[in-house]
Amino acid sequence: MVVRAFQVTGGVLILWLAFFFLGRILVHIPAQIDPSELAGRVFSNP
Amino acid sequence: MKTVRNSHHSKHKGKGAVELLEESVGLVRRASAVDLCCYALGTLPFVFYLLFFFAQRTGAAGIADLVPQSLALSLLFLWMKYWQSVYARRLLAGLRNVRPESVFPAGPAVVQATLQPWCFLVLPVALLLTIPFGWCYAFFQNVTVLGAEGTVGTVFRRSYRQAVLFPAQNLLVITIVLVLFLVVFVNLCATAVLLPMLLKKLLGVETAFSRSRSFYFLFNTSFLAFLAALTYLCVDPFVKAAYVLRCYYGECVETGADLLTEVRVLRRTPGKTVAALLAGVSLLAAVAALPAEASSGAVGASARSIPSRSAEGRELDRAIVEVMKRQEFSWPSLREARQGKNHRIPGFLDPLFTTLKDWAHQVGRWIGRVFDWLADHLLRKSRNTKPSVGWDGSAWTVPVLMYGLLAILLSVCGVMLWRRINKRRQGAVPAPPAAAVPEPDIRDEAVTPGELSGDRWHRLAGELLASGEMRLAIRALYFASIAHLAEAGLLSMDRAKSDRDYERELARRAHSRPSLLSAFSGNVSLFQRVWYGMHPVDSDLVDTFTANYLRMTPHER
Repeated sequence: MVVRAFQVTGGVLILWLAFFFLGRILVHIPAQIDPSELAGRVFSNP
Repeated sequence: MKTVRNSHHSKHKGKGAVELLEESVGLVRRASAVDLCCYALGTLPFVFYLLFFFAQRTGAAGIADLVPQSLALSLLFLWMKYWQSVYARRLLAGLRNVRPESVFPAGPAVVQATLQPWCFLVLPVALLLTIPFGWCYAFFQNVTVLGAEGTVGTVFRRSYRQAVLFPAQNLLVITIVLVLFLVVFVNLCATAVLLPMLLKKLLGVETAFSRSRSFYFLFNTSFLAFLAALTYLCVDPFVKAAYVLRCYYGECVETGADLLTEVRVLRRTPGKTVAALLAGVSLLAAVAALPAEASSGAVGASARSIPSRSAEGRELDRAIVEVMKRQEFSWPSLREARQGKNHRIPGFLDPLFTTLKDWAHQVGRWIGRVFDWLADHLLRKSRNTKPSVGWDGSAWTVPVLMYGLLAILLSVCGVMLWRRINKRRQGAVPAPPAAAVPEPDIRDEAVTPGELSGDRWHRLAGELLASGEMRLAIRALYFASIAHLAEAGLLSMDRAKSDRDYERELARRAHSRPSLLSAFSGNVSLFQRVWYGMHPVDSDLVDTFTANYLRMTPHER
């Protein structure tokens, strides 16, 4: 029983960390991509 | 019988991937409403909450709500996996022709909670390494299918065993599913574009999508995530069914479960039982007769034991025995040949593998020839040279050459290492302080916010306020707010952008923070009145502007 509880807790912890870091990554994705801005970034000279 | 256990071909390749996917479509179509409800009950809450999570987190800052949200998402993921396991188990029960058992929450839930989270660690690494991805993906799908078949250890072992079975079929299934996913996604995108247009044209119904200029909504990341989630909901039930079939056929190869299924079918249909018994008796008779015909020795013996009526009869028996000895009449090879014709889909990769193997052998032969040539050349050379004192030439030339090469290699490595250490030491020396950037003339119209950092604009605004230059101070403070927002990743500065462009960009990127938006919009209108208009700058205006500026800065940091 203890082993099962430990396994389940470990699994939930891994999932929690995975989704937490997913949330941190999603912050860097804009809610709306501006096509002209995107084109400007792609085609502009450095 | 669908599966032939003694066939090597079947054991190594299994069914064709296309055939398997077709069967999976049939399986899902035959599934009852309860089965599909089980799937939806688990998957829909997770997918909807994931979309909410996506919409909340994109472009957001801070982790205030992230901790509880990610915990809720984790629990919903386990909920989804549990119900997907129930769905897969019900499909598997249908294949085995048994009634699905009642749901016992503890067993499958513990197995799923223990094994499934590892997919977030294992699958990205496997994808990075590319080759093991197929096996790892199949393993986690098998865990979903076989989740209710025992303890964690049992499910792990069985899932692993099924994952390594039929690797070519598995890879083909993954490839086809990937293509299918892309096709469905593109179809849904096309529907999202066309449906509002049709509604507008045919019924005159105006929607937010038809009002959007040049399909701007297609570049909304939340909308794209919604389409991806919808695609997943369309494709995944079939993927689960495909892995249910893979597990079932793997089980058939190992245990002959398909025979049990056939027996259960017969037991449930009493009308057919008599026919089946007759068929069984005739089959047994045929099997009993087959060895006598197939094995030459036995046939010879039986032929001798039976008193022959004439010399022609004995001649005929001998001719039959000779013909039956031939390879093409050996029944396993017959079956293999027949199956080879039926399994065309895995077979089409065979020429590719054969060609690759031939190329590898050819390259190996070339390398071997080069080594042979080197050895011959060196040995011949050493044989031609006069032997040194006490040593035979062939004995020392090659080792000396090898040691020489090794010494050169080590020296090159040493030099590279030394240069690297030297470079690092040079890098560690603190660089001289950069020359101070001269402050731009704030009166100049061509000055942009990107010319100084946010803190330096802020300091300049303070200096201008102290010297009584209110109008210039407002401009410096406005530039400071833009620079700070750009440093926080909420704006991207560009010389060509107007104030309204910045305002619109902020509305897109920080839509979840209305206070920040209102503060920035208020400052934009105040700044425009002061800088482009003739609005007098008094202390109240400066206070309002500064208050708005301070409302923005806590968000950025």
